[in-house]
Amino acid sequence: MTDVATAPITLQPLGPGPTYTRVNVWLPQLMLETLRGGASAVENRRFEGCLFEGPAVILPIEGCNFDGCDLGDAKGDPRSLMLAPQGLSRVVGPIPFRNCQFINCRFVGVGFTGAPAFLDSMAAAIGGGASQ
Amino acid sequence: MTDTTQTPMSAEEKFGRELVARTTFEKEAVWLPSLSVHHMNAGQTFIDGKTFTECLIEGPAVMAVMNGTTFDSCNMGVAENPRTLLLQPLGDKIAGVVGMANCRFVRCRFVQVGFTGAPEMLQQVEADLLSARSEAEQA
Repeated sequence: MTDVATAPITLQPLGPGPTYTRVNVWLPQLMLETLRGGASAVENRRFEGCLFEGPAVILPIEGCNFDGCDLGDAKGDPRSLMLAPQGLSRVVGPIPFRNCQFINCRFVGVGFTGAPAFLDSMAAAIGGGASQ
Repeated sequence: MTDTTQTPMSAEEKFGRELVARTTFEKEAVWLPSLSVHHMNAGQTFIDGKTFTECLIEGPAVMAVMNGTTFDSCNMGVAENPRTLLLQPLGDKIAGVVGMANCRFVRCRFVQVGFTGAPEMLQQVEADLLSARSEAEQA
């Protein structure tokens, strides 16, 4: 008898990149593959024309650029896409990115977190009709 | 007349529907992003009315703690400062989170899961975390 309650979900591996072009990226899967590869953050990747899907909250640590991206449906308030970490030095739950380039990507069901200055600049960029 | 246009349900869809229909989870690992996606696929934007007992709740994920959700004797995650587990939404809506309403967590352990919600909810979760840590230190 098949135990459907524990049946595995099969996903096509995203692989280590470092360049992904027009790929659908399920963010929890990307992080899982990153952890299995021994890294604690998604690093040194370039995403072009990709669709990123959550549920997930992204934490750009350093060296990340969002160029021509659609960051999601802010429902009239850019800050609806953002969460402020309450700890001073670290945060649990979001997916950390370092030195990653996002070019003409689209984000669905994704929130963003980071330092106050980053959140302010991102809100200003979205509110101004352009992505950061 | 038989409807021959209906395609049979895939194993994955069957699995998802059964998962969404369940109200109790006991002594099992629950990957929160997967649980959330199956609920969204079923048209449910948040997870409602489930009891998790002695489960391992795994992220990466940020859980929006909604009305009626309680934590009873849970290990919320590794954190010297409980505030590292908390995120404050900056707008009226919250994007990217897994909403959970009327869910009960009993003796569960959370790994790579952060928590968010209304300000009073965040204060309560922080107070609970500090209380749990104090009890653990005294034990």
